[in-house]
Amino acid sequence: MSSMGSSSALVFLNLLADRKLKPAGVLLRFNSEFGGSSAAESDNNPGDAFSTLASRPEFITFAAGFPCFIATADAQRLPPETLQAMQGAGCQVLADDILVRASNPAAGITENRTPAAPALPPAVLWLAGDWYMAPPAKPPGNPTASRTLALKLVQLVAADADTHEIEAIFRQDPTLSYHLLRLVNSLGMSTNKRITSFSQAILILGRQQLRRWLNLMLFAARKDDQRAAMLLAHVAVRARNMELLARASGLDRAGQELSFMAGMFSLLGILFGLPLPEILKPLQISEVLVDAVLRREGDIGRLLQAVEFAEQGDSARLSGLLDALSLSAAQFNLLNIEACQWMLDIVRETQGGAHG
Amino acid sequence: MADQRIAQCLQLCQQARGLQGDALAQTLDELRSNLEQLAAERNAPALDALQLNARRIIEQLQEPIITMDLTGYLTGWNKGAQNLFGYTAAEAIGQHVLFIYADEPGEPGEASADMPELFLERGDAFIEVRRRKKSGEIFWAGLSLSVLRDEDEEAVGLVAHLSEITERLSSEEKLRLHTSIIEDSDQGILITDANECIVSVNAAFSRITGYLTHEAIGQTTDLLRSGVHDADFREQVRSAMHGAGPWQGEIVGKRKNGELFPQSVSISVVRNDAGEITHAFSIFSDISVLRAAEDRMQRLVNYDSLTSLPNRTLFNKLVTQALATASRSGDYGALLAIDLNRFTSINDTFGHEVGDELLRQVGQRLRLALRDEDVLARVGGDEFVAALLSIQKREHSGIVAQKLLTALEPPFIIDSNVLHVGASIGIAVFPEDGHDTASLLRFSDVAMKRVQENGESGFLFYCAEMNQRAKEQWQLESELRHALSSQELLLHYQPKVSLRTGRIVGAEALIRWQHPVRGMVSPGKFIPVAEETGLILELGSWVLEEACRQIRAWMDAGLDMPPIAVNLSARQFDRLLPARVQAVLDRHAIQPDRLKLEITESLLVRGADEVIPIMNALVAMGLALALDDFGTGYSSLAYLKRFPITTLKIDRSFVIGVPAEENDCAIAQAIVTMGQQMRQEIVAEGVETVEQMAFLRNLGCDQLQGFLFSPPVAASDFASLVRNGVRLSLD
Repeated sequence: MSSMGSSSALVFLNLLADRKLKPAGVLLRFNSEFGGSSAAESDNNPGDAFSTLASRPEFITFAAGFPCFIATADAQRLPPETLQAMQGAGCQVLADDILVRASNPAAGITENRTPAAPALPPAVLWLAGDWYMAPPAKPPGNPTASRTLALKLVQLVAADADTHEIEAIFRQDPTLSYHLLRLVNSLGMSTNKRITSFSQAILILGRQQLRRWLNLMLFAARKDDQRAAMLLAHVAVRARNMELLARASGLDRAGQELSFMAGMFSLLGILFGLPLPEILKPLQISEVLVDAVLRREGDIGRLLQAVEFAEQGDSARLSGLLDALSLSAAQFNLLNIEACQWMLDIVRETQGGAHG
Repeated sequence: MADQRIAQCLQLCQQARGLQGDALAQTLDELRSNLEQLAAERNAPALDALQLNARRIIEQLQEPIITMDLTGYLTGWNKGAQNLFGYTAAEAIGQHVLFIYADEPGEPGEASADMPELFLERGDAFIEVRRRKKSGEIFWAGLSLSVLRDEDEEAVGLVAHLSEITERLSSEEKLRLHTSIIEDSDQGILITDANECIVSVNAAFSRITGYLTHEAIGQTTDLLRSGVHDADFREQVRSAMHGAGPWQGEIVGKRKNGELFPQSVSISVVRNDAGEITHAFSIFSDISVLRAAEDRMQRLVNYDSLTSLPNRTLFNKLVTQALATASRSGDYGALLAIDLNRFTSINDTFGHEVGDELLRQVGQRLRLALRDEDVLARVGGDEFVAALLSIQKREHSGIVAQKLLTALEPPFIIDSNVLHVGASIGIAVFPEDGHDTASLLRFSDVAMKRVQENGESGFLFYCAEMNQRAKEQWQLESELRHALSSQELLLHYQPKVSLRTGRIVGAEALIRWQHPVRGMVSPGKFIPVAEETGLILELGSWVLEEACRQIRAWMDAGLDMPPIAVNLSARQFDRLLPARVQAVLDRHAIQPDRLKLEITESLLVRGADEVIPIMNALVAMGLALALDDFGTGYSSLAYLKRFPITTLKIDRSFVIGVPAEENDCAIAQAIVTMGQQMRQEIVAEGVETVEQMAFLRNLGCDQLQGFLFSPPVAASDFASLVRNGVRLSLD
């Protein structure tokens, strides 16, 4: 069990936005330095990590459905046969001039909501970086739920669908999920019960109240927010990553559920533009969840840290955590792909629903 | 400019006081648009004062106006709202608006009740909704809802104005409605005046009786008199028409063509303000189809008139059908011939009436001692026969026989006579003793005669070997009863380990019986007896109680133990189960996530409508449900999806076969795949070898339970396994 860590390296995944600022591709990287090669990575063997990935059916399926890129500089470091394998699996090498990294609020982008940000040179097709995580110039206040998802929920509830199906929709939208938990608490339905899963909240609320609430949400819902597309994709990847990581590290199903919620709720502060403790206050959620989200404490807090290190490309600290969790880099790489795949599936489903 | 607007608002308010209905709504809409303008102009220097003013105006309005944020939490609650609902602004603001929604009557059927509110999404609209006041009173309100937008046209909140609708119908509408209800009714309606003359009839009256309106009006109700009823009966009807109170019953009437017809009639009277009867009306329907009479016929043919139990004819029919089903599904069944001892002497001593009453009471006691699905019939003077159509083991019919005998033990008290009556019971078992009703009846009769020869109450099987077994069962039952009260039962814990880390992640609590003489008794031996005798309920409660006591004890000892799973029998699964479980959790102060409940697939067969609400209540309490022995029943994936189950346990019978048996591997694979699709946790039971473990781990199973890691162990041993961090080696 213990000797699996160092044989292969970590691969970091960066979501890329297209010119319309929608999630449209993934950049596979060796480390945090964007496209660069740092000496610290040399003891690991990135070539191995990539060729392992290229042989996995999960990755091949993913790459077939979503553009996957390797930066030119990284590609040059790969052994030719590995690069070939990656290309065989559907990866493309991304020319530097069509990629821009915007780590700081490329101000024009976040505020204007114009599909094509004026700041982008015409040649640029892809946008990397965590610009969407930066606080917006004007706090969105109380963001409303996705209209598409609220509508879908109304339909499911009208059709008397199973709790599983309704839960699946809530898992796709942090705003809806948040308000569900808040409502259960507000209506005094959860008297001294800590909510530990979405399905529990759905069952406590009951179908009649759920339907009324959704009708109201639908009335107030905005069209799906353009700005939020990348952020929501990011939330989805993080939440699912947490869940998969919890499973891989041996937490039981309840722990996996809480991990998913932790991943999702940890980004509410950024989503709502408000301090996180304030947002969580009206919820009656399990202590474990609060400890993880606010203080990175407990098993789930540790998983959240791991996911954040991965997002930051901090391979040194991530490796340490993964060792403690007895997880190999190769396993972790694959989980990341699976999490992205899930995000992709729900994005597709939502878009499909909007037109159908 | 703002001043002008405020002046206009004030004027509109003034105007609003004198208005009602649509005009009022229109004025308020104008007011709102003015106020919105005001809000939009709040960049102006005098903004704060203006806003304050506008706010005050809204607050003081008599018309209820409520504002809320985009997610429905109340942000404003004016005087009008307070007057209407009874909640003060302080009570209401911050609450979610759903708290003033009225419950719809009849949860399942009300799917459409909220539908109008859905149409609000089209924009401003006036709809009628049901709301609840603080007093609990439910009323209809007119509601118009619109979105408040800020200067960027960004939605910032919702504003609703409500008005109580007191009179839902104008009197003219009511009249029109009532007339058409009467005229279009399927039931015949006839109205008479104080002199019993017909003053009005509807179309259905003419259709049923053959008399046209003009032929009926002016006549008395004698028009329809059939002449079959006696004077007493006619007097009852007449007094109802004179105000003795509503009357319902069956009357035979006569149509215009002379044909007699049975009608179901209800009669009431109408009084004027002085309380005098002005009219009487009869509502009737033609029941000449005589379903009721047919039913009566059926009863005569199929049921014993004395005891209301099925007679021999119906018994034969029911049992023959059931045996056909049972032989297909491989179930066991048994026929019990029951003969009362000394009945003839009771009849001779106390007379037939006492004898008949005794038979009735015996029939009742026997019926109550049986399960609903069992059939009990009276087949002769003092002969009864019971059919147990689905039993797990043949010898369980002996337990039932004993139960019936016990039911007859308390004395019968009839006309102040205290009567004791025993019975002889003979048992024939399906399929061993016979395959058809006739031979089973014959053999049970033979066995019953043998009991009678002894002259005492008792039961015997037709087959000698069965008698021996039944004796053992009977003994087991009474010993088990004793065990429950004398602490011979205990729980062992079988650890569950993660197939990702090898660590212990839980345990299943399993009941053990430490018999003072026989030593450990296998649950396989006593659980079926407990199921059959109903003792399972007490056993189940004991297990839950003991598991929670143990969890609490571990917590008090400062041990960090994983959740414990407890098995629930299908018999425990009723509407009160959630409350019972909650009570045990509360008693031991245990969080629901410390406990898991395992149910078996056979429970699901009872039907989704019955079990889902109970399961939902358990999940809403925060408990997790696991499905035991998965794969042995016949639940399909589609069916399973409907239940809030989070864990599937692959039955040991498939685990034994992996990786050698191709079929078992395919089944295990299928279970894991579908479980993963539904995000369910998969636990493999009965894992004994490394090969099995490796195979299941590769499939993606989450946990295993079995001798490979540990047999069920005593609580203290389980605690030390956890404390020492003992792990399963996954290599």
